[in-house]
Amino acid sequence: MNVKLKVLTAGVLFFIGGQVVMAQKKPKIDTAAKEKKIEEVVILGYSKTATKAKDVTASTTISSEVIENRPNVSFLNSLQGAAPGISVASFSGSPGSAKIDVIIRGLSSLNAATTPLYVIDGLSSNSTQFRNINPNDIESISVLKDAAATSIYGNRGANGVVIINTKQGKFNSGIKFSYSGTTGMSVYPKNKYEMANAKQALTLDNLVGYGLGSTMTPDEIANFTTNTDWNKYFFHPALTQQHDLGVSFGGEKVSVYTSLGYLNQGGLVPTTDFKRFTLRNNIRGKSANDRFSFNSQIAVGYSKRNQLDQEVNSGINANVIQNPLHGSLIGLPYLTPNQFNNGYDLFNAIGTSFSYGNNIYVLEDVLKRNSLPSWFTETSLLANIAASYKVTPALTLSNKAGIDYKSNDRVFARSPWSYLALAVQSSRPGEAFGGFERVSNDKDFTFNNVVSLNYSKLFNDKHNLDLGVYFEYMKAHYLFNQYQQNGLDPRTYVPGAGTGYVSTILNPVNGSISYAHTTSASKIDAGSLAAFATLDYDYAGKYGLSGVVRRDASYRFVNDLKWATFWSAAGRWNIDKEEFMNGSTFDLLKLRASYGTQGNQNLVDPVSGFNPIFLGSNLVRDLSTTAIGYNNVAGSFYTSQVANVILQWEEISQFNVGLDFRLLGRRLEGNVDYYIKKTNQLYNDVNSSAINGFYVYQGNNGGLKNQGIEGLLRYRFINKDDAKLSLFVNVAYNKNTITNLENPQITGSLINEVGGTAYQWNLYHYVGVNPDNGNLLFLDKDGNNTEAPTDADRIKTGKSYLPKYQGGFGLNAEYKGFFLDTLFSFQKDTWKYDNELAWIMDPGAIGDYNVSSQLLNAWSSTNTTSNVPSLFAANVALDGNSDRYLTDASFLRFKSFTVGYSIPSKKLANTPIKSFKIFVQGENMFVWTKWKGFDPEGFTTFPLGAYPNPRTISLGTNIEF
Amino acid sequence: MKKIIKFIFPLLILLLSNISCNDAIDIVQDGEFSNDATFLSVSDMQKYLDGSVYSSVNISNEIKFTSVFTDEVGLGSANSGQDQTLHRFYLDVSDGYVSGIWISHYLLINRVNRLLQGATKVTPNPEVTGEVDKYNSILAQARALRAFAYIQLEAYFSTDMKDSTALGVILLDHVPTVAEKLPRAKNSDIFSLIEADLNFAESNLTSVLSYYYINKASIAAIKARYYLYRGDYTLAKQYANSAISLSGLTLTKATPIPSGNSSLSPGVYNGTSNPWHTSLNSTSSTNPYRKMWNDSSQGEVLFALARPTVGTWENIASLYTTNTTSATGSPLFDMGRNLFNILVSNSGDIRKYVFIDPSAKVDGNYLTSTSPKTTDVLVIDKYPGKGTTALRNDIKLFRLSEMYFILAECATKENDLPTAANYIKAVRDARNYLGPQTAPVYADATAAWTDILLERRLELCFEGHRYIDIKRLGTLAGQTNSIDRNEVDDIIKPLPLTIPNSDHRFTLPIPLDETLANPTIQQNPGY
Repeated sequence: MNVKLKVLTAGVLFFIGGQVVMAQKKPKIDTAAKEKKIEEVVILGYSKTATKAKDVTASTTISSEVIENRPNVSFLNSLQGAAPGISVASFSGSPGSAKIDVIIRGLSSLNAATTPLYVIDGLSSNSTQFRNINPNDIESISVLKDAAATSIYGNRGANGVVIINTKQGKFNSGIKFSYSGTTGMSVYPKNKYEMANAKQALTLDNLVGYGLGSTMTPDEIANFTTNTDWNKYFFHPALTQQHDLGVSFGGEKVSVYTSLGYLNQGGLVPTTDFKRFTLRNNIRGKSANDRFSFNSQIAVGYSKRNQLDQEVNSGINANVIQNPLHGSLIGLPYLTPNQFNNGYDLFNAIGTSFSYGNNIYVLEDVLKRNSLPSWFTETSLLANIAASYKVTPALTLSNKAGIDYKSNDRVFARSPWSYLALAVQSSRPGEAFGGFERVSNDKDFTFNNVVSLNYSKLFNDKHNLDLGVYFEYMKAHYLFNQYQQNGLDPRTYVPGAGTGYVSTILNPVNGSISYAHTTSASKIDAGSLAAFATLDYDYAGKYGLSGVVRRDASYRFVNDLKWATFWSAAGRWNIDKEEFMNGSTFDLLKLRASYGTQGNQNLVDPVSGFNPIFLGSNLVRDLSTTAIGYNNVAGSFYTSQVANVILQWEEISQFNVGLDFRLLGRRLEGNVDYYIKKTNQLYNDVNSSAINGFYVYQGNNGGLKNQGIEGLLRYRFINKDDAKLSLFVNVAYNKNTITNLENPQITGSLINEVGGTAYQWNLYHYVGVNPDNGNLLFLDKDGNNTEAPTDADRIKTGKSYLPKYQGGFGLNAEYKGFFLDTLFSFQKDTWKYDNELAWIMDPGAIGDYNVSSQLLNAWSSTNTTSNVPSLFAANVALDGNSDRYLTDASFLRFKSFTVGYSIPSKKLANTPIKSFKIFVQGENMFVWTKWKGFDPEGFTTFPLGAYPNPRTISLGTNIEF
Repeated sequence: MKKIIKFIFPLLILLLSNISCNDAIDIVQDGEFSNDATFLSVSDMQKYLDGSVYSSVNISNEIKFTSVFTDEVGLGSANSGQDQTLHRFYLDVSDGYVSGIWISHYLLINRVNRLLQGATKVTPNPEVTGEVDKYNSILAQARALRAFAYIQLEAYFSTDMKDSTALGVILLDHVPTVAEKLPRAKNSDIFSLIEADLNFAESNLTSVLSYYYINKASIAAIKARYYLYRGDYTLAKQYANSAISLSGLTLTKATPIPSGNSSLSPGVYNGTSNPWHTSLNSTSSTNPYRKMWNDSSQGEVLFALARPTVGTWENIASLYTTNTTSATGSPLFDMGRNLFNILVSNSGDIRKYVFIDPSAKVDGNYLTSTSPKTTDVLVIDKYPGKGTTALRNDIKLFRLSEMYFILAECATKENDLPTAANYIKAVRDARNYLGPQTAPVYADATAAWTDILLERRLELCFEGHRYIDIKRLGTLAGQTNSIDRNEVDDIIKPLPLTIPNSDHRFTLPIPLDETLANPTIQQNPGY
C-alpha cells in the first residue's frame, strides 16, 4: 500500500490512504478495488475533507515530496512555483529569515496584511513565519483559494488559506525508523553589473579629478596591481547540514509519529547562520468500538540565528558603513583588504571620514565576529489536542484545542572595540566607554479552541448530507521587554553575558548623565470568536451543493461592527457521471462554481515575521499622551489618537468558476479556474470633515479587484511499475485594479489611483543622452524632449512590482530506482527600480565608491553618441524619478532538482531495510532574468542591499527500516 | 436518535455558555491612556487645558493669508514662487491657508469639546479650597478659547457677520465621530454659542492669570472684537472700555529711544546699517515698543500665545522668511512698498524702524529698478526672534491699541467724530517718539472710517487684521479698492494691484479638504 501511494503521490497532487481520512462510502463493486485504497482526498478548512470528485473548491494540495529534503529553513520557500495562484517571494537569503512574501490570488489590500491564514493541524495560526517548523515533518500543504474554501475562515480568510498537516503514524503498521540526512554547500549568486576593476576605477577617478586615481598618471594606473573583489573577500560559501530521525509506530488502536530534527545552515555572510532543533510527537488513538478518537500533535523547536542588523533594520539598507550587502558591491577595488587589525587601528587611521572608499574598511570591521553581535533565539511550542465522539454513526461531537507559543530573545550590540562604537564614543566627550548592548524578549501566545458537531448521513443511497456547526474561540497575548546598556567595558564585555556594563555617571565634561540605560516593555492582548455552520449535499456523486454561514467577532472592532457575517455558496456538476458521458475518455470532468465573502481584520500590515493579530489593537479608542504643554508646562495631556469607532474589516467577495478534469486513462489531469476577487472597505486614507481636527484619517473606504485565470496540467507519458515520466505545469495570471479610492495616493514614484494597478510606477520617461551636452533627456507631457522634467511629466506606466504571471513547471521521472525531479518557477511582468544600478551609474560616486565600468563610455565631446550621460551631466540627479532604472524583474528560475537512486523494494525484501535512497539536491540552481542584480526575487519596489537567496547543492540520503 | 439529540444540544449549549467567551473580543489593552484615564481630577483637566487646548490655538494661517492676499507684503528676495499665485489674487477652494484657517479652529473647538466632555466626569470637591474655582476657571478658559475660534471662523467664512440670519459655519458642540458630517449653521446659532461661552467665561473665571492665558481682560477684549465684528457698537464699546480698565495697561510708548541719533532724518531712510536703528532693534533694546515685539516685556499686550524659546513651538517669522529676519536670511516676503512709504512719511513714527530690520536694503529708485525684489528688500522685523531664538516670538492676539480702534469705530458710529479722532490720536501719540500729534479732524464719518482703517493698517500689520478690516471698513471708508499695493510688490508688473472691496474673495471659500469629506456643505457665493 505504501508503495502504491508513493507511485501516485508524485508531483503536485496529493493522495491520502485510509489514514487521516477515508471516504465514507465503501465501493460496492470490487472492480474498483484499485481505487479503494487510494481515494484521492482534498484537505479543506476545519479538518473537513472531500474526495477529489466531490470537492467544490478551488484548492491545490502539495505533497510532502515537494517540500522534503530541500535546504530551506521554512517550508514557505519550497512553495514557489509549486501551485498556481500562490506567489512566493523570498527577499532575504539570510538563514532563517522571515522575509518571505506569500500572496494568494493577487494583492487584496493596500495597507492591511496580505499574508494568507496558516492553519496547522486543524487550528488557525496567527503566525506568518515558520522557521521553527521542520519541513520534513509536513505531510501535505493545501492552498485554499476560492470562497467555497476560504469563507469558512470568515474575517481571517481574505488572503487565502494555507493548511499544513503534519505526518502521522499509521494504524497497524508496526514500528518503523527513518533517517534522512543532507549536507549542502551554498554559494553567493552573481550579478551582471559590470563593476569597474581597479584600473578602470582609477581611470574614472582620473577623468573626474577626484579620488586616488586623480593623482596618478596613466602609466601608474596601468601598472597598478591591487584588484580586490570585495564581494569575494567578504562573502564565503557556506555549509548546510540537516539530520532527521523519525520513528513511527502503529497498533490497532493507537499510532505514533515522532521525529527529531537538526538543521545547521551557514550563511553566505560569515556572521550569519541558523541552527535548529525540533522535536515532534503526533499521537492518535481510538476506543475499542471506534466511537471515541483522540489525537494530539506536539512540536517543540529551538533555533538560534545570527543575522546582520540590516535583516531587521531596513533603515540601514542604503547605509554604506553599516550594510555590507550594499557596501561590498561598491567597495573600491583598488583598496587593499585586511590593513587594520581592529576597530581602534581603523578609527585612528580614518577617524570618521568615509570618503575615498574608507567605508569599506568599516564594513570589514562590521563583519568581524563579535563586532556587532546580533542573534535571536526562538523557542516554540505548538501543541494541539483533539477528541471526537461518535454519538451515533451519523453524529460526531468534537473538540480541538491548541496553543502556539513562541519566545524570542535577541541580543544586539555594538561591542566597545568595534569601529562604530569607537566612532560614536569619540563624539561624546567625557565618556571613556563606548558601545551598547540591547537585550530584548518577546513572547507570543495563542490559544485556540474549536468545538463542533457534525452530522453526516446517506439517504436512499443517493442523497448524502453533511451538516456541521462550529464554535471557535481564539485568544492571543503578546509581551515584549527590552533594556539597553550604554557603555561597555572592553575588559570584561562578552556579548549576551551581561558583563562589562558600566555604571551611570555624571559626565565630568558637560555634567549630563552618561551611560544611562533605557528600558521598555509592552503587552498586547487579542482575540476573536466565531460561530458557523456548514452544509454539504451530494446527489449520487453527480451534483453537489455546499454552503457556509459564519458569524465572526474580533477584538479590534466595537459596537455593531464587532460581529460580522460571512457566507459562501458553491455547487458542482460531475459531468463525467452523466449517462451521455458513458464511454468517454474522461475519468473526471467536473464543473464547479462558488461565490462568497470573507473579511480581513488584520488592518495593519506587519513587518516580516510579526504576528498581525496584535497590530491596530486600539484604533477604536481615543488615546491621550503626556508631553510638554503650552508655555512649556511639563506633563500636559494631549489627545494622541482619535477613535475610529466605525473601523471594520476589509470586505472581500469572490466569484470562482473552475473545471477539474482527468482523462486519457488518467494520463492527463488538471484544472482551470477563473476568478474575480473584489475587496471593498479598504483600510486607507479617508477624507474627514475638519470638525475632527484632521482632514484625513485611516478608515474603511475604497476598493480593488483581482481578476485572473489559473491552471494546472500534468501529463504522464510513461506510467509503468519501474519507469515513470510525467510533466507538470501550473500558470496563474492575475490582474490587479484599484476600483475605488477617494484620493490618489502618491508616494514618491508610486501611485495608487482608480483604474490602475496597486503601486503603479509613476515616472518620467528617460529618453537617453543629449548628444549636444551629455545631459539626460526625458520626455515631457507633450512628448517633447526635456532636460528638466517636472511632476506633470510623470507617466503612469501601468507597471508594478506585483507579478502578473507566475507559476512553475517540471518533471518527475523514475527508472528502475533512479529518479529525477525538477521544478522551475517563474514570475513575469514584475517591475522594480534597480536601486543598486542607480548607485553604480552615478558619476558623483566616482572616487568614493566603485561604479559600473560602463561609465568609462560616458558621453564626452569626442564620444557624443554614447548612451551613458556625461560624467558631468548637470541633471543627473533627475534620473531617480525616471524610468531609467525601472527594470523588468521577471525571472525563470531553476528552482530545484533532485536526482538520485532508490533501491527497489524487491531487492530489500530480505533485509531489515525498508527503503534506501541517496540523492543530490540543488536549490536555486540558475536564474534567467533581465535583472542585473544578485537576485530578482522579492515583492519590493526599491531593493537595495538585500541578502540574496543562495544557490545550494546538497547530497543526501534517506533510510527506512 | 431524538433522545440523543435532546441530550446533546443542551450539552453543547452548556459547553458553549460555560466558556466565558467575551473575554476574547471585549479587550481593552492594559494601561491604555484612555479618555477615562485622562480626566480623573481637576488637575487632569488643567493638564489637558495646557496640552491639547492651549496648544491648539493658532492664527498663523490668518496672519500669512492676510499678508499675502492684501497689501502688507511684497515678494521677498528669496521668493522663488512661494505663494505667488495667492499673492496674485488667485484664491479658490484648494488654497492651503484657507484650509488651514478652517481646520485650525475646528481642531481647537474639538479639543475644547473633549475637555468639556471629560469635565462632566469630574466633580470638584467643595471642601478642597479653591478646587471649585479652579474647575470653573478651566472651563471658563476653554470656552473663551472656543468662542475665539468661532469668531475667527465667522469672520472669515460667514457671508455677512452683521446679519444674524446669514450663513455661518459648522456648529460643533460635542465630540464628533470620525465620519460625522455637519452642515453650516445660521449665524444666530453660532452667535448663541459664542455668547454663552463668553458669558460663562466672564462669570466663572476667578483665577488670576497672566496675559499668556485667558483672563478677565482678554475675555473683555474678545467680546469687544466680537461685538464690533457683529456691528453691535454699544456692547463693543462697553467691552473695549472694560478690557482697558481690567487690564490696567496703557498704550506702549515709543520713547525712550536710543541716544545720539537726533540727526536721523525721517523719510531719508537709507537702510545702510544705521547704528541707531540697530540699537533700537537689538535684543537688549530699551525702547518699550520694541521690547513688546521682542517679548522682553508685555507692553500693551492683552493676550498672546506663549512661544517659549525652548521646545518645538512654531516660528512665527518663518511665515515671512527662511532663516533669519535679515536681508541675508532669505526672506520670502518683505514689507509692501506702499505700507513702508506711509510709515516712512510719518515723522517720528517709531514703527518705521521697529517693523523693519536694520539690514533692510532700501532702494530709493525702486520704481525704476530692474529687480526691486532684490534691490529693495524691506525685511519685516515685527517678529524679530526671541532672545537668541531666531524666528520665534509670542503671537499677539489682542493688544490695547485694538481696543482704542474699536472705541474709535464706536464713536464714529455714534457720530461723535472728535472722540473718534482722540482715540486715533492716542495711538499715534504713543507711537511717536518726537511728541504728541495733532488730533485729526474728520469732516464726516467717511473720513473717520478712512483714518481708522489707515491707522489699523499701520499698527496691526502682520497680525492678521487687514483682510477682515478691508471687508468691514473698506466700503464705509468710501473706498472701492482698499487693497493698496505698489507695482514692485510683485515681479511681474502689469498684474492687477487690487481687487474691489465687493469681490466675493472677501469671504473665504469652504475649503476643498472639507467638501471632499462633506460634499453637501453649502459653499460660499462665487466659488
